[in-house]
Amino acid sequence: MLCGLRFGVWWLALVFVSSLSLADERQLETRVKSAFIYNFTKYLSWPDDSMRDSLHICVARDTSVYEVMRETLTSKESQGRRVEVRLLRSGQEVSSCDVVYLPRNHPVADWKFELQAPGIVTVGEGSEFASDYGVFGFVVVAEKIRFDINLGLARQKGVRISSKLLSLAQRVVE
Amino acid sequence: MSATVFKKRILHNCIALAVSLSSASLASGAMSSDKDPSSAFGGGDLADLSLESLMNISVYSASKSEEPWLRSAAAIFVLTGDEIRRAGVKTMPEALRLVPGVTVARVDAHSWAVTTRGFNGTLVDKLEVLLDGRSLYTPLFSGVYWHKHNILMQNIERIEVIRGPGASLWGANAVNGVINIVTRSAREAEPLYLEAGAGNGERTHAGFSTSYKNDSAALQLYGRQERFADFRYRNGRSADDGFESSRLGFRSDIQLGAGDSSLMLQGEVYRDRVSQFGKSRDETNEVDFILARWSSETTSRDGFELAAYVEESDFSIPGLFLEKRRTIEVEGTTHFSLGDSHELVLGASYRHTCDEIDSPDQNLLGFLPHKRADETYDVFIQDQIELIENRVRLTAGVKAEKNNYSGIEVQPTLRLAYTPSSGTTLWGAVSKAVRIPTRLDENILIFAPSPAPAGTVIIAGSPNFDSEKLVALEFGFRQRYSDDLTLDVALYRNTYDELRGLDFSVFPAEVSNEGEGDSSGVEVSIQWNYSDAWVHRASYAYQHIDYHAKRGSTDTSIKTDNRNDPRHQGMLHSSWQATDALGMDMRLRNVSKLPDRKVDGYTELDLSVSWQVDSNLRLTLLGQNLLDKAHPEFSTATSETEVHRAVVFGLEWTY
Repeated sequence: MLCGLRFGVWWLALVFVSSLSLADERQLETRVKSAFIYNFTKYLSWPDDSMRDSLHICVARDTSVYEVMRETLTSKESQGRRVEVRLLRSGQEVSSCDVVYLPRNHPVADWKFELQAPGIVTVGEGSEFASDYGVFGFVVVAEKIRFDINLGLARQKGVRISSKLLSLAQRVVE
Repeated sequence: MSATVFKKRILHNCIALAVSLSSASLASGAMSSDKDPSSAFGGGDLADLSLESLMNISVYSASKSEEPWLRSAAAIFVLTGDEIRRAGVKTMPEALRLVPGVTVARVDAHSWAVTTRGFNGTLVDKLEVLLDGRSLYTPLFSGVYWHKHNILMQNIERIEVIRGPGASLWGANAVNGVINIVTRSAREAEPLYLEAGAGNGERTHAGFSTSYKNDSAALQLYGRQERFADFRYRNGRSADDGFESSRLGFRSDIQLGAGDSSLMLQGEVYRDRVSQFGKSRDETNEVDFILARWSSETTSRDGFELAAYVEESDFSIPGLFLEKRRTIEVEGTTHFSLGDSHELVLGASYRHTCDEIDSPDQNLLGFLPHKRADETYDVFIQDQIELIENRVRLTAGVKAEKNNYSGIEVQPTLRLAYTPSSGTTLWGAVSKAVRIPTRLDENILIFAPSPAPAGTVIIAGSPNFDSEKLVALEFGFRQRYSDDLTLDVALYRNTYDELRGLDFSVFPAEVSNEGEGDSSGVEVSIQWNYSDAWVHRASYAYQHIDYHAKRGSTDTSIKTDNRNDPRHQGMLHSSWQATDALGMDMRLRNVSKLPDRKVDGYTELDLSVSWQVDSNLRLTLLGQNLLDKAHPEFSTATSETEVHRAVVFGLEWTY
């Protein structure tokens, strides 16, 4: 092999750019969680005065999760209402949501007050989330997605959860 | 880093460990459903599945298998990235100071002498140093230019240090030890990280890291710049040895397929400038590399890895020395279990390094031939056998390496670990290792300095130079008294032969295997976790090295250069997370004298304080060498510089 043949720096740019495109666009975990959230809504009843024409499922801050969820839930309906996926950038917008999904629990601390409002179903990650702030908390067990439900918090918010959904939960907190 | 961030890390690691343990036990059942149903679905169809079906889909998760080092039959120490960041150190050799038994001596603003178990110097060639599997030693003389590897400390996952020969697994040149630096996956990088710092003596550093992630890939881009101003000689004059460096690189980690295989890509451009002999003779360096590693874990114990990298470097001192080098290495490893009690690792690698060296000054040094290409092939096998389950484990390994200098070298090792109870391990090992000749040994020409006529060779390398040899006998004892108290003791007796020296019976003198010797030592380390937030470690190493020219040798160089290692080294290291936001780390270290370097023994104190101001900003204060205004740690023929007391202030901002 000739030592004279040198690769130079431009190779790095090539590899850098190609590693971006190699990224598998399937984004499985987010798509599966979006499907879970959509399914949850079929087993929930909100307090009557917060019923709207469309069901708003909001994603807190994360643009890539928002885009995946919007694509997964295009043209879906739940309990006769059209599902609309929205991206939340500030705590003030929380009140317009029926479900708020906080990917990686961000930024739950900043929006704690708004998220506690009645009728807002909060979905996050981990068992701890379900005990502290969330109605639903996703847990990955043996590479499969499971969820915890905080029934007591749901009651406080005036949200009723069907027993079928409760039976599928990994853990139900009162 | 605050305690809540610590705890989150621990929680995440526990979840990952729990997931990997449960997935290992469910592996046989999960195998059939591994080709999960969702692979057939596009974006919308998943939402049509019932909850029960959704709950059956496998999603990948990062699994880490931790090496149970408590049972390991080697003198191993693992330094975590968190410990490095708590200590507040910003350079690689300073991070290595935290490891018991590693001798780290600062020579000047840019040079370091780092070794384990003796033979320290700036050209240490008995240590193998790897960064993510890429060898950091230069094939020119088998040494490491430490100042070129001050990567972002934030990116370090852990540093594994094995004291003693690791040749059967890591290859030739891992004679006295192996340092394996592992960086974090791009998945763990923060979306944005910025750091900057400055200290007295005009020492500055700045760096950044930014990352993008989706479910199956993570990409990190990083950069770092640092500058060290000139040190001073003992007589107060400037040593003209300062340097500045910058690097820009990336790392990407991509999950492939159903999640059991992954691809890691890394690349970096590095530039530096070192003051050497006055402004016009500044040394400049360019190092660029690309690395790819594909790994596949079929079960938690079986897997395969294929890695390749290309590194190109230019090392230039105008008018004096120019080395262009390109190294390509490809290696494959597979590990699998055989029956109930055998765990095998098999591997093979190929390395090609070629260079062009120009040294126009014929009153200094040169290399003949100017251009050279060298190939190295190696294969290795290691079997870990549970002779008595959970009690006695025998490890047998051997590496066979073929190189252009000494032909075929075989390096075997035999290790036995006895674990009478879960907290106690006794181990012993016998190994053979070699240090293969380098370009320097075979091709160097040292010329007579002016005013002698140009081109008068006084010392020449020789193709007859054979590899240096080591036979090592090691013993160790490890005891875990409780969850909070661990004791680790290692003893060794090394016998060296064919060490490099000079044969003065001919003119020009020839590089020749004139030396031999033996060394023995003991290394003790105690770790006491006083509480979750307060950890103490005390370590001590004693070494006695008898290194001399062989009987009948005409060498006169060895005896003036054979006592460069401290007989005693000790350290007290205390790390205290005082509150959620405030952390302190203290190291008191003592190193005994280096007789041939005319360096006295010293005791020094390093203290670092870190304050997590809010969830984004962290401030750090590092005080180094606080006990003396200045002290020497190592000297060379051209440098009797001193290391000064320093205070470095830093800030880190994370989004």
